[in-house]
Amino acid sequence: MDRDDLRAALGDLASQVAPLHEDALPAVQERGRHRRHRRNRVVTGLTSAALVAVLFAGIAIAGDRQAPPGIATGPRPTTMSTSTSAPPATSEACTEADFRAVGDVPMPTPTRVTKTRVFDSGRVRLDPPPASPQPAVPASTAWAALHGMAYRVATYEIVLTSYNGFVPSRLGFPDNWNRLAWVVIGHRVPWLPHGGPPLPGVTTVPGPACTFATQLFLVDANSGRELEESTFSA
Amino acid sequence: MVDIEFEAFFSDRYDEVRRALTVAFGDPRLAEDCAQEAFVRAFVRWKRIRKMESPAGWVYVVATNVARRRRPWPADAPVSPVADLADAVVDRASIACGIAQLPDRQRIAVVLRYLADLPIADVAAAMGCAQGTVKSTLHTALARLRVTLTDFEEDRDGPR
Repeated sequence: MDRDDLRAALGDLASQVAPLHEDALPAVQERGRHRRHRRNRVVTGLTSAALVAVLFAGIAIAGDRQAPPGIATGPRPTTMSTSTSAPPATSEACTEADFRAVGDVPMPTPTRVTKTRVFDSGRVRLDPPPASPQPAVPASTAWAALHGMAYRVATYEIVLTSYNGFVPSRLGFPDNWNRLAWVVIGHRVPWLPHGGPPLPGVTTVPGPACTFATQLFLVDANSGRELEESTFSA
Repeated sequence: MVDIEFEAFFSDRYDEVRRALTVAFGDPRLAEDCAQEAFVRAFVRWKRIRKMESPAGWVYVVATNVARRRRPWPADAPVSPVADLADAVVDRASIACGIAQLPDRQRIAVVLRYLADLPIADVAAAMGCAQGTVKSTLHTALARLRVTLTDFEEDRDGPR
């Protein structure tokens, strides 16, 4: 038995699988569009960043920083009160090689949030989790939520937190508020805000080169359900 | 434009992925659910996925991850949920039967590596284990298949 025999036998098995009864594409597209609408608002591009920065009187946006004392005890954060210091600039452009370097990233050691952290100008807040209950699913569930899409040029954290995010929300009520969650935080994640460079041989008009961004993957620590994926670019 | 591209990708690869997952998991319904879920996720992230070296590889990895979460497979217990499929195969029947008799983990590794043609790194990502573990699993699976094949041939040829 050689590998070709094995492949052929596998192909035989696959060919015996019953054919599709109906076209699954419409269902996939409908579910996909629904999820697109529900995805967290993504702040991309320097233009958006500049506008928000002006709105908040020169307070820089998009970063991972410690909240000032007192934020952790406040009932609800406001964007004004949580924006206190400028995050490190991430204007450096990444390369296609950075973007393609996916996988083989070891899972970081999970930690608990001990001091409130804010992202996206305070729209997302990670508070220290309560002492109880403990998470029902392990941190590895959150790491699996990346589906292997961890970038080797990025650095990752997995934190247990009480998650508070203003978006997404329905009728003014945030979907995820005081939610015990595992959050994978990706720092310096290659991000293509406008489509990025074309692949070799592809003749589409090239977009701007990719930039680095901060990504959050939110997984419910009780159910293991993937809740949100957010990206904040500088 | 992007949606048209996704539609082309879908029509090219969906059935292939669904069939491969059916062979891997021996459960057509689970395979279809996981294939759909993986393609939905690909649709949502298509602008990003389309630039990957192997969008189909990503779909296989996601689908396998989803399946793993919905139906964790046992580490060793040999099961043969695809035996019915194997019975229907006339040519290369011995190998097909051997594949059917592999434990879940080994069969999934074999399907992802040799039917889906995923690189070892992607198989590892799909199975949630180290690349070394995948190599070891494949080695064991192939060794087991060779033993099965030998037994099959001896049975067919009778005692010598």
